[in-house]
Amino acid sequence: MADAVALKEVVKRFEGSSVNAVDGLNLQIAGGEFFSLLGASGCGKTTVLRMIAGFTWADSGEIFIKGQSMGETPPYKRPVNTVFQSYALFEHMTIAQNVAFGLEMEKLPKAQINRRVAETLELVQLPDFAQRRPHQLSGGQQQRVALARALVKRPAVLLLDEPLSALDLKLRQQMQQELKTIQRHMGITFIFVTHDQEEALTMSDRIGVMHQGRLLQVGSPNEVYERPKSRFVAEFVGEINTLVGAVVAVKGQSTGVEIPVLGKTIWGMAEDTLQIGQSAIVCIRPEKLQIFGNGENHFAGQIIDTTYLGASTRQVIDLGNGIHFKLLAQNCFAQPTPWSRSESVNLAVRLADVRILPQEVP
Amino acid sequence: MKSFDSVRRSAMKLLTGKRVVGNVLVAPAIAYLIRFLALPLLAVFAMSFLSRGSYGNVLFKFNPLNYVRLFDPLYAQILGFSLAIAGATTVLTLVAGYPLAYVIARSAPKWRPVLLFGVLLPFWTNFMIRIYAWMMILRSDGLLHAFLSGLGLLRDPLDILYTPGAVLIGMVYEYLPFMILPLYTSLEKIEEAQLAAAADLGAKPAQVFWRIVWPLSLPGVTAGVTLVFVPAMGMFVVSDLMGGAKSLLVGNLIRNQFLSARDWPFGAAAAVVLLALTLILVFVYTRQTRGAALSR
Repeated sequence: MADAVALKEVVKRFEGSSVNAVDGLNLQIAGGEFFSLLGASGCGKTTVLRMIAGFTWADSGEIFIKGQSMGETPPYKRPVNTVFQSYALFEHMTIAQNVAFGLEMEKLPKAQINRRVAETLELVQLPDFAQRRPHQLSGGQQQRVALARALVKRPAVLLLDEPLSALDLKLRQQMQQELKTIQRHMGITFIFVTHDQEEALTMSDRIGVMHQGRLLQVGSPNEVYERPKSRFVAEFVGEINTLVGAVVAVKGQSTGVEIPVLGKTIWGMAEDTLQIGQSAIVCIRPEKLQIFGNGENHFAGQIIDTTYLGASTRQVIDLGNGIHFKLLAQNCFAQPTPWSRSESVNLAVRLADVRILPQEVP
Repeated sequence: MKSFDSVRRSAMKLLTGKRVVGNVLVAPAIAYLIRFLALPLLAVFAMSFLSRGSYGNVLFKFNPLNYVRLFDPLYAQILGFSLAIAGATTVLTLVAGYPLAYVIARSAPKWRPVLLFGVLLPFWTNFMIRIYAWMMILRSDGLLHAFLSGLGLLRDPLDILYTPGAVLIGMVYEYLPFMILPLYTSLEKIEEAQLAAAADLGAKPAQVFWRIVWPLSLPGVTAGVTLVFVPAMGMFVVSDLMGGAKSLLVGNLIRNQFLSARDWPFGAAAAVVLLALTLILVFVYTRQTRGAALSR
């Protein structure tokens, strides 16, 4: 089966700009997949979405939808639908008219339109709002209408442009869950654009991390979080402690990196075999560090800040020479706060939990 | 004691409340409107029921015949012709102004004030001078004639000036900005994403226009149509200068009754009928478009 969406060497540069907004993008998205494009604003992720929808065309490269090259096919002939960040509901129409619009364009029989509109409003839990107008609805409800209006067309691919960014936290989490449920239920491919790494991690089958028009890494949420391939991905997705040093020992994937500021060698796992003497970055996630725990790597330091978060406690530990480590400890057992400020502690982290990345040449 | 308190409180309210300040601020405008709009209108209305004296003076004698006289086929024809010219002016300014307003509303934000300035630029020249300029252009041996004969398209003298066509050209020219500005205001408010959404849902460009752009611009259309049609119904300068004696509009009729024929009561009756007719048309029109906008 052909991919739902495929991009081949897609390049887009905006008029008057000296850099490519999208710079040679290659990507395959499988049918029924929930794929997130994750990146900071201006990274080109929305431009990718707009090119798939047909609102703007690539300068070079090709976009395929269900194996068909799209070229300059206008939006109204593409088997994709979009949920806009601003919702873009038609203010002069009722909710039912908004949802029916796409089906009327297909010239379906009136009875069938009515039935599908009712079904879809049921699906997004707004069956009683058919005769209201967009301005009478809350932000969350408008969001559901925007979703219904796109879903009712039963597109091969649904494009979502930061659809939850205007909602408050509680509603956003609820909608994340609902979107996932709807996506599984209908089996539609979702391409979800977001700048919120937590949102991408919780919802996606796969994530593509974008930076400056390029895809830095594509993988499952677990891969992207646990095995980042670059410093940018490591730092953009979740929190991380990084140290810079030089490779001094290599045993297969196990790699030793000497950190001058700490005067010691840290052992971790490298994705690719590194060369002795090569400069490298040591990455350690805060939750992988343990106070007085077991592991191949040990650090001595002093707690300089501690924040109790209920399920976990966040600590900042001074390792000397201006190096601060963030640490996240799960509060697995009920106990009075065991570690307080200015206490001296030993940290440990297992070799397998440390990622060693080659230092990128700028 | 209690009542004294409440009196004092309401007195304070009267002096310090927002309402007092507001009333004081609008008072000059209201006084102006009463003195220069309401009272003259009443005077005209009253005068339309009086009689003309033998020397063009107004006799205080009740006379409903002024209105009966308006049913004379001659005057009915003038009224019909005025309606036709004003209607044609409205339609033409709408057809010509809509694309222009749309282009301005969809142009880059930095260009919009420049383009709007261009629309308003003619107003920097006196109205009469612009009409005379049009006469120079349309004259039988004028600029247009020179241009067309220069291209070899025309040999005979041009026969446009002093025809209803010339009146229409002058009126469309004069009222075009009054159509463009309200259209621009409502077109500019339409969010780009709504047009993208319609295309995304399968609407071809023509469907995007008729289903989304047009209904959302109806408030601007209503305002523009009213702003053009109402003054066009009373226009007499353009028809005087560019239409010659042949094309007489209600505006000319009224002016002639007051200034040349010196039959003020009849002129007043014609003015009242014009006002009533225009108000009825505008009322019916706005009611209908509002209904259409809501039912979509």
